[in-house]
Amino acid sequence: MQRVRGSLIIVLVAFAMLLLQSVFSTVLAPHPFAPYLGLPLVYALATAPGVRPLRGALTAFAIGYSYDLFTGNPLGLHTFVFVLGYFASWLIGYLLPFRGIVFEMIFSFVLTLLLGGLLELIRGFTPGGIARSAATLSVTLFASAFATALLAPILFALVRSVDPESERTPT
Amino acid sequence: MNYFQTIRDAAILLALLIIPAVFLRANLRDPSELSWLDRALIQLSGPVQYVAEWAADGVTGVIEDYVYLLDVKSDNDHLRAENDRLQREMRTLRSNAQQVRELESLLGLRERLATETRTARVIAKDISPSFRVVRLAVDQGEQAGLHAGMPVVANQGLVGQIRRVSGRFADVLLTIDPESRVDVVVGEGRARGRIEGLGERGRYRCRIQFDRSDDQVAVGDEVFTSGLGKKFPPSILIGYISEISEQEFGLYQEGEVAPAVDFTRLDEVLILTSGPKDPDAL
Repeated sequence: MQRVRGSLIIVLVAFAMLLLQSVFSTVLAPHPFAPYLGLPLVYALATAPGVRPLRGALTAFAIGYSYDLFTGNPLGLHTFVFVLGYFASWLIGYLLPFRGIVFEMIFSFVLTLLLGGLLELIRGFTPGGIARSAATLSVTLFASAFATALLAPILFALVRSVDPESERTPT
Repeated sequence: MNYFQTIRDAAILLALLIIPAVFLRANLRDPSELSWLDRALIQLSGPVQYVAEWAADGVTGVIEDYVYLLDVKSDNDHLRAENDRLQREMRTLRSNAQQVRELESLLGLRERLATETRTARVIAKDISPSFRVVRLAVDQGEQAGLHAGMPVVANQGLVGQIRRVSGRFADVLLTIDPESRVDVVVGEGRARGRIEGLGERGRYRCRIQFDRSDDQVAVGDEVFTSGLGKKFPPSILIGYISEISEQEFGLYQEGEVAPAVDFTRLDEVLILTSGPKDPDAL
């Protein structure tokens, strides 16, 4: 029950952050430094040794689904990318023994860059999608990944504080 | 964890990846190329997405409205403060404009008087219990060359004369003071007489005594200084006849004069520091 509650809180936190980001986007995260606030929550769950993959993936699914509903993107876009991101980070977290703030930031930066690229790639196939130049896209991706990496330690800590099973193993 | 649980978890995990991928594929395809499965998925996801978006828009709308209201409140506070500031500025400007008008008026009076004058600011007023001014003090004194007896005038007319000078200040004896006496002429008939203050604390009035009992004077006639004795320049307006007392067998007639000067509103006055150069100037 405690686990379910932890996952629900994480989904609600992700939704609340998305809500706040959309309302205060110009003040809190001006373009192109708009972070993907939901992704570090997914990474934190995936790299926490105590969280079962099924629960982590379901939480990632729920976060991604709320993003899809909220951002007006094709249904399944964020859900798919977030679940994929969960699996990828679970695998990396399984293979790499490192943990800590630096790991969280680098990990978040690299994965966000890749997943952001994937999101943009899929969006590129969307009928009626807006075409953007490679330079603009690159700047946006790097800036977003950078902003996400900066905030990642806070979001990792947030997940640890609400989910008792996601304790971090010391480096 | 047993074997079946592992298989079940693996199946769910796979489904979590495949389901969104299938929905995504259906949503990304060109509408003309949709298969029956894609159409079914879109039909399935459409209402759910619509309801969820409607709810999300509602939540966002509430928050945005709240933020908007906060902005409106902030704007209101700002505008209220701005309004207060402008009101204060307007009052100051009105006061300044009034002062400028008074000074211009005094300047005009100074030119009309054609005599040496000194401008002084009223710095103190003694008020009677009936809220009447009974004494004035001005901010010019010995340093300005003032001495007792010098006439004090305002744009409306004669205020009185300097009673006492002390240092940088001077007291003014008002025309309504019982100690004040001024030789006057009245109306077009130039009836001669003298006025003295009644010293009443409830109203501004002077008593006027005419030299002759048969002088034709009426209520409303203007009362001017006569210039007799050269204490006051001639033709300075003092006030208006407000009452005439008929004395059938008297040697003279008398009445009351309402001063032309509103003593309560005096801010600047002119003090005549020398005798008139041109007696017909006024």
